[in-house]
Amino acid sequence: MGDMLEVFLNEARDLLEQLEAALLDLEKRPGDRELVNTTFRALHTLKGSGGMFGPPAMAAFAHELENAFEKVRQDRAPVTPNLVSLLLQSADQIRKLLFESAGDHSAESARLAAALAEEVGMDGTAAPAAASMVVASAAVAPAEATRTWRIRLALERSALAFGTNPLSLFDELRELGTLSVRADADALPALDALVPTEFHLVFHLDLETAAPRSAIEDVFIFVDGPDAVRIEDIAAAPASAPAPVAEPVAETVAPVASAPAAPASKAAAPTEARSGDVPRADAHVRVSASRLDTLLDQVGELVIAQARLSALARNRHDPVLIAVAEEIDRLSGDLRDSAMGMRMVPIEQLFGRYRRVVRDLSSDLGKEIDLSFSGEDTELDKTVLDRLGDPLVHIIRNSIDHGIESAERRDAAGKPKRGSLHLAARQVGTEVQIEIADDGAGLNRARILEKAVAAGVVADGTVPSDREIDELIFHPGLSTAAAVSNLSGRGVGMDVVKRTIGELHGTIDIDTRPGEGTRFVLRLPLTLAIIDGLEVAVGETHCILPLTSVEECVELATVQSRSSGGRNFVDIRGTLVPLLWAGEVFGGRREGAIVVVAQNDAGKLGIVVDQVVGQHQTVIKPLSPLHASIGGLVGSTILGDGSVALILDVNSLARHAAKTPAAADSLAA
Amino acid sequence: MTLAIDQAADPSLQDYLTVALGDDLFAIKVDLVHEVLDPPPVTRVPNAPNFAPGLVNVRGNVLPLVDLRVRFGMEPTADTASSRVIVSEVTREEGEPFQVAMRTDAVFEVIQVRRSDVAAMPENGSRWPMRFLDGVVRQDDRFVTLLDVSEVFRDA
Repeated sequence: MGDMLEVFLNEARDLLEQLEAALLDLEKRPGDRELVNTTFRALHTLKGSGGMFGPPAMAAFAHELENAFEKVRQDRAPVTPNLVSLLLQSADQIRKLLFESAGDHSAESARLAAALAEEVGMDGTAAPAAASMVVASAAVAPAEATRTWRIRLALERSALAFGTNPLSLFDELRELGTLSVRADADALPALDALVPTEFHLVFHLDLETAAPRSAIEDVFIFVDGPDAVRIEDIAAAPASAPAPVAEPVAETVAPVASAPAAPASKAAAPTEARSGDVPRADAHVRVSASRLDTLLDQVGELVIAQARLSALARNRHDPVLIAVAEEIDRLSGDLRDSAMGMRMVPIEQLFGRYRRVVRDLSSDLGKEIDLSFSGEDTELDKTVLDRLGDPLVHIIRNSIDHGIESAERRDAAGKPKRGSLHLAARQVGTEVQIEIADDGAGLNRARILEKAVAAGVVADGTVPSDREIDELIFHPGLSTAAAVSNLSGRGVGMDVVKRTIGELHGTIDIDTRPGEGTRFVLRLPLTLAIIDGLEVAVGETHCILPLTSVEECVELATVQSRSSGGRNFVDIRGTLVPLLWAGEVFGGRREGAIVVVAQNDAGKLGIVVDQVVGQHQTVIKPLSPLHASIGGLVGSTILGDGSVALILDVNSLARHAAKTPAAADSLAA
Repeated sequence: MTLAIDQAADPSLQDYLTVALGDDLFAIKVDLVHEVLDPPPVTRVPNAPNFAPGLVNVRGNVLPLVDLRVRFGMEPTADTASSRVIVSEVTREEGEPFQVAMRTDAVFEVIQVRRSDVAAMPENGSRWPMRFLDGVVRQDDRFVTLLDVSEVFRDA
């Protein structure tokens, strides 16, 4: 039972997100029938499973919502901005009822239910009419001219497994009028290839009814799949003249629906009877993140054991053993990629949530804001994604609250009245970059400096650079909002944002132009789990460089090295590449034999190491809090011989080196 | 098993593991100790804090190696025949608990400490940061200083 509750709560969380997304779309396109249906489905499922597993107060409230929205679905009430607002608040209310069991929410539930009822023109609470009753009454309703509708119902092959029962659909249609059913069994495979749980029949239905088209569509509201249902109006038939045109199909009546299950005895071979002209349902399995973590840990152990095996095979010089080791190497690589892939989620999931945030904020502040996205399909490890949620909300709040000006001020500055906020994501090598860009006033540097001086963060009289001033917004204890509004004062400050990003081994940069806007750029590692790595030796320490950022390795002795202005470069096929001496970063001396040419976000960088050892799949073991803040390191790993190697990150190594005075002169800015 | 029964019988008794740092005797709550190992090979971490100079592999987990001597302001020394590493769990107010490998000069025995026998540290009698210490008990004519492991790693 505890498990069921867990499943229900997870499902409810997703449904609420779907509901919000649909509502926000609906606000923009109030006439979109499909969105109305999506909204209704979400509400209906919430009510249904809430009735089974949820607290009674939540089930009752969801029921009220469904009733109110039923009016919209029947086109008896329009979709108004006010309705959408009420429904969004109701979604929040359901969240409260589900996840904040403490406290009494009944007053708010009653208020929302009443407001909704009024909005859609229902008389208060006196309408416990469930969906089926409404459908039934529609059949009895006004005596319009009857029409004949031809319906083609081609269910997904997996429809039975998902609980669709054609018989009950027919029963519902019969409540609307006179129905004749013909089954087209052409697609039915031969008996020995028949899988009894798969569905192959196509139904041709003729329905003679006075009910409107929407009533028929309602019957099929839970039938999924593209093109599963086609409804055509074939004739406005006089009250009693069915006479469907004879078609060259086996004419059978409804009971045939159970036929595919009958000749089941010899259905052994589940062959692909027809090669996919029916698109397969995109079936999902819900797996808890902790089980994925376990899987990934195990794959990690496998990869480490595999590295040991490879080392052993090489030392034995046994070609057969080496061949097996290579095969296992390849397989474990594939396994790793699959396991990793399961953890990757499109960033869309995160961006989608912010539509609500932006909508609420812009209406609270009376600023009209266009939110746009790009690169929503960029994938990111779920762990990273989950932890990004709050920091991004905070940046977005800041952009809207402090960045984007009021419509009057924008007008006066000659900008479009509507502010714009753009969220972008893209993958660059092993990093994902996320940008939050507004077209507001930019950071108010004078005010930030004033505050910093007042707070004693910056000594009076010093003149920091613009960049240093911008960085001050990440300083704990500096809030630039003159008054703490309920938006900017929600607990987390920009210092927490920076710390959270840092804990994810990411960085955050600001690019602000007075009068034109502010852009926050977050750089995050793609994953926290396994990478392909190049093993190098720096002194006695073995290090791993992510292979995706490595372009080539050259011997230092074979390339021309020059220095200019105290900086060191090598000339690689005509390109000057700045050098970073790994030994020096490690507190040792400026020496080494091999230049590993790597690509970082500022261009090419030559990392000088003593030796290149080889190429490995590398399980990233996170560093403990004692070492997590060391620049240039993203983690550690265990090598085939059991020793620990350090995983370097080229971007953060370059940034770290640029900040360290000892190494700064070896690196181009 | 007897351990559990003893504890159940007398909740005021707690088990501590005694270790040496230099000439002094310290004790760590047994509940926090996962295992005691011979010193494993250490991978040095550049720019790491002095008291946590490197990483070690303990059964497939990479743990930070903490030199308790350095944390207590003593000079670091090379490993000796008696040096041991204690794998212990550290909980902090913020963030997930994590494991560390603490290097000590020697590990001796498990002693039972009665809460009422613990004396407060004398205000200025200690050479070590007061906040790392939980108090002091007498054991066979010697003073044993009780360590508060979480405090040792707070702000670290």
